[in-house]
Amino acid sequence: MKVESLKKVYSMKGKKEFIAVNDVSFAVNKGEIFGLLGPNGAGKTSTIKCICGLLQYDAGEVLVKGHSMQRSRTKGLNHISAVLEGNRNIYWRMTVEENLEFFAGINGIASGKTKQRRDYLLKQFQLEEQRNVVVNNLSRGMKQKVAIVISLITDKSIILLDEPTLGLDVGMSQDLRQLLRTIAKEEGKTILLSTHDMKVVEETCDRLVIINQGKTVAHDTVENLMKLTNQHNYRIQMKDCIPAEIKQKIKQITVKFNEQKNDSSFTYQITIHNPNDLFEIMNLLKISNVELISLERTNYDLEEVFMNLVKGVEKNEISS
Amino acid sequence: MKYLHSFWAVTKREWIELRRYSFNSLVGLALYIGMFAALFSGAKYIGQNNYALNDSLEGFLISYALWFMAMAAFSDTANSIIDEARKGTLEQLYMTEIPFVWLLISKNMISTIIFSSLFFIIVQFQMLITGIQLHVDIISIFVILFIGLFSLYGIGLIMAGLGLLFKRIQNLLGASQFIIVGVMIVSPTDIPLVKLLPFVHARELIMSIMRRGISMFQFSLYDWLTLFLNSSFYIIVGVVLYKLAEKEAFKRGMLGQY
Ligand SMILES: Nc1ncnc2c1ncn2[C@@H]1O[C@H](COP(=O)(O)OP(=O)(O)OP(=O)(O)O)[C@@H](O)[C@H]1O
Ligand SMILES: [Mg+2]
Repeated sequence: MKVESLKKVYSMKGKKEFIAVNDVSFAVNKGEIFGLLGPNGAGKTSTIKCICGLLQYDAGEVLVKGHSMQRSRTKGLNHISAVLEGNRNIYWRMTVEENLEFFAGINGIASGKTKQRRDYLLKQFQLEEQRNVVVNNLSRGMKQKVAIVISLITDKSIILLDEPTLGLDVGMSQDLRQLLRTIAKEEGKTILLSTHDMKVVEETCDRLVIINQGKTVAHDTVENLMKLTNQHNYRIQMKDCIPAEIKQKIKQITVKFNEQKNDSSFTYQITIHNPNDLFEIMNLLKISNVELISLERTNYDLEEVFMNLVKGVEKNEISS
Repeated sequence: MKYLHSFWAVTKREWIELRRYSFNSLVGLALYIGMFAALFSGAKYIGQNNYALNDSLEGFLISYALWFMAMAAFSDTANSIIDEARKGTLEQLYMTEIPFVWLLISKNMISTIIFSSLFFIIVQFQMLITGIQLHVDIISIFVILFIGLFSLYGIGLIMAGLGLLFKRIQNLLGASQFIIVGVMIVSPTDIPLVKLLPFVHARELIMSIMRRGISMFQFSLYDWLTLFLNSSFYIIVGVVLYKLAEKEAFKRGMLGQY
């Protein structure tokens, strides 16, 4: 599956236009889990809807097994199924099994033919007990599972999942991530999932693209990106200001150095390449004779990853 | 074959919904019959059982039952599309290789069976209440309804298209009930052009079946042709306009917004 220079413009009331997806390109290989990462409003849902033929795009192309989703939508749909935002693909007034039969049916598959697959999937997703329960009575996490099972019932090769872990508690989210990996591996499905949760990507995806305000910010393997972003960040809180000369020395060691004055203390935000640099910094701090209040490792969350990447882009633009 | 499986799936879904949530429809049915009983006793009180009134009462009885059914048929498509767009299942229906219009037609055919049954039930109650005896030739009436209702589904599709784009069309649906009342009352013998309205000829045919005991085999080719062309015209116009709305919805991304 391939997305090439995809562009989606929403025309708003009063003739204003809004570019939701701008020149996004990526390719998803067979059997991999691919992440589409971005904050709210980044254009994840729009991109996914373009891929599954629910949204007409303005430029670029989406190719599913070589079929354009604009020109030969039906052929492309032969290979795709999707769960869109918030498990809304289910009939809440029907039972789990009735839903499965219905969605297999409207895809042209006789309900008798899917019996085995239903059994297998319900077992895989631990939904056997809920088989005859009306969906409305299930918990949110269970509904999400049912939604995903529905997308798998037709056994298409590409599965699109829009924010599959949104609103789930930690345990359920973990559960689901595990399941997705199992499904990708055992059934050789190609999975594209969108999320704003770095952790989901880190744990499940092979490769990813990060988009922000419709634009690609990064496109890489997860491993590389983690290396790039997981520099060592520490927050040091001191009772008083560090003397200027020592500050200077610390600055030479760190990649990034940031001082902030609080009410009764000073906070230093530092980034270093090598954790061993910390020894030297601590030495310098000891010499300074200022009382240390706390030292903590600050991990990057998604926001910071973004900041970093967006900044990186800007820097490149300036230097080139 | 694929089409058959999808038709069957839609049938099952409708059946499940009907069975599990029939209470609402039963209440509606009871309300209609109650209202009819009230109207009837009023009319009888005023008319004191004279012959001319009794004659027009027959017409009233049939029109009333047809009105109930026509309203249901006509708002059925629009309501269900808007409902599914709101819930998010509409997008899923659009993601199959089976064309969405086929799913709609499947649903309409099943609805016709349900609505016709309701029609027969209402008529039965009405005959009981009024003591008027009509010819309930189930097969003939059903065949005419099956073809005739598609004209109303066509109008329903236009409404559904509007609903996709403008969301709040409940008021429009409400207002159009009165148009349906018109369709049930105006007579093509006074103004021939009225025959071009949706369902009017079907209504005329059902009237002759029920009041004069004519069977569908006695209808002329002209009758069949008018019935068939009327329904074809409206369903085709409905599908075309719905497709246009759908195209716009694809552009604006409105298939799943609530
Ligand atoms: N149908 C629409 N009409 C107009 N603008 C839209 C429409 N759908 C989305 N947008 C706008 O396009 C932008 C991208 O939306 P999109 O839903 O694709 O983002 P997202 O990455 O999925 O965000 P979220 O995390 O909130 O789901 C948003 O600013 C949104 O307001
Ligand atoms: Mg979204």
